[in-house]
Amino acid sequence: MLWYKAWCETRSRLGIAAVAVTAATGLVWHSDWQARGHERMFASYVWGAAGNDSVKAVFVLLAIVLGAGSLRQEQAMGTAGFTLALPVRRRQLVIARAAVGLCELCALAGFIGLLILSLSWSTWDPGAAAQTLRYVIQWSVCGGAVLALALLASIAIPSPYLGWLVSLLGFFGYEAIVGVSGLGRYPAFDLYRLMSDPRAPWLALVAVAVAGTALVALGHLWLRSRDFA
Amino acid sequence: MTVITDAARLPAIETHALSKRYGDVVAAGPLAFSVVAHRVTGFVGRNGAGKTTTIKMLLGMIAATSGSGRVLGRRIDDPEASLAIRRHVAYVGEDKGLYAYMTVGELIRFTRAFYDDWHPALERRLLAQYELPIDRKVKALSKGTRTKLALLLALARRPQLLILDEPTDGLDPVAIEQLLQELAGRSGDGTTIFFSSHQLGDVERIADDIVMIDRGAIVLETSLDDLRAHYRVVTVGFTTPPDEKAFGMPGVLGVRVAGRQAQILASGNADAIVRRAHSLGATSVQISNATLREVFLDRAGGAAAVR
Repeated sequence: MLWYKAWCETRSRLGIAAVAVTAATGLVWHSDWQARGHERMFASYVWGAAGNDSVKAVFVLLAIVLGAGSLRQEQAMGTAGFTLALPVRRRQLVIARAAVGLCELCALAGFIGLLILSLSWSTWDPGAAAQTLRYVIQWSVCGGAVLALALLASIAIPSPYLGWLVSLLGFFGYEAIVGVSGLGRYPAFDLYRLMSDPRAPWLALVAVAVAGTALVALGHLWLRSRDFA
Repeated sequence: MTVITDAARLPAIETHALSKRYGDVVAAGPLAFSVVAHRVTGFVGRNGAGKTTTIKMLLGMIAATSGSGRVLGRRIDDPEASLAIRRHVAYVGEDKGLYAYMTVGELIRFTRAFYDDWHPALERRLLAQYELPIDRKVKALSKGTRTKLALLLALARRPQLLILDEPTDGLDPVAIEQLLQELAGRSGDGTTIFFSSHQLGDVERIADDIVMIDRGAIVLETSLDDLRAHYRVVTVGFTTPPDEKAFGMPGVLGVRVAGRQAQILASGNADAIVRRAHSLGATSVQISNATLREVFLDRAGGAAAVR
């Protein structure tokens, strides 16, 4: 039932997220269509859509929105007492929240993939479903790490808006540091590029998934010993 | 016939030097009190006295700084034991915070999934009694209706221990009456009830025992029967204003002088107080049973106390 609770908390955000990615993907497709018409092949189209900075930025933003939410924020809303009186461990609360957020994010990435495929069928030669699926996995894994960052921020910061802001600044600050320091040469460090890396570096994706899990575990450690007065 | 086992005779709640500090601020403690199983215990104190902090320590929401406590025989500082405690305790918090995004029906379904002691028949009866709109979102409920829903979520179970923090807050007189009757009935069924309230009349009506807290410390722990049997207010009239120090003697808890009259709160020794009053030239002496309110004002009343 904790999954149900987490779903109820985020279902409206997911609906808004679906509308947002539809709009973003549609706009990208439309501008691409206007600019290039029928000249492009499907593979290059998928690459362009999945690697488009605008859609990626929207997706990262939505990962932050979906990841935010924890007992700290429940405390601000006055429901932490009710939740903590339930016969569940705090660890279960964090895991349920992270798992539901990740499922929603995967669904969102899958939805973007479907959109790209559907739009392509109306214009170009369909057939690169496997490639699209690979991008969906890359987006889900990288988005999952961003979601874990947002969850950690929402555990550490009681204000939801401040939590979102810190997550956003944290992610883009991290990307800037990666760019400046030269760590971007290693795919595992540059999430933004990894999302649309056509080589699909699986090892890097595993490393990102581990990092995301570590962030969730850190969130649990933070929450475990915290008082809810 | 209900057989009460040795385990059942253990205190439902017991604390030993339990305290909570935030830096230099003492939120509660050191607290040493116990709640007898199968009885109703009123937990009274002023705002900020430490009632809610104590309850939250018992339920594992706040970690104690020092001391120890047990609920239903289990240690409150052991995470696994705390989980078992919460399985057998129904709790209604002070703020009655419930998930605003769920409907009444969704919240009931959500909550009952966690407890083996949920009674659908009780749920149906309370739903009808409280006239709760099953399809309405919690965020659209009035404060009183939200309180009723919070009570339903606790009372639709048959827990070993009910912990209620200001349960009548926000309720209309009819709902308060229904709640008091419900609690009295639960007590008769053997449920231990520990509740905090500022409504001393309600406490006096249904409680068997009283635990009084002031500035984080227990200032009175007694049964109401004992309070009624031994606590007295002696009102003495004089021709001139009396010296309150003249009544400094065993059993005297507080003396208040107003003009030519002295009001003395005593936990015993009333005969000796009367003799002292006569020896001081009292023109009139009246003895009455002390009410919980009078004892509360003395023990926890601060500036308003009987002195």
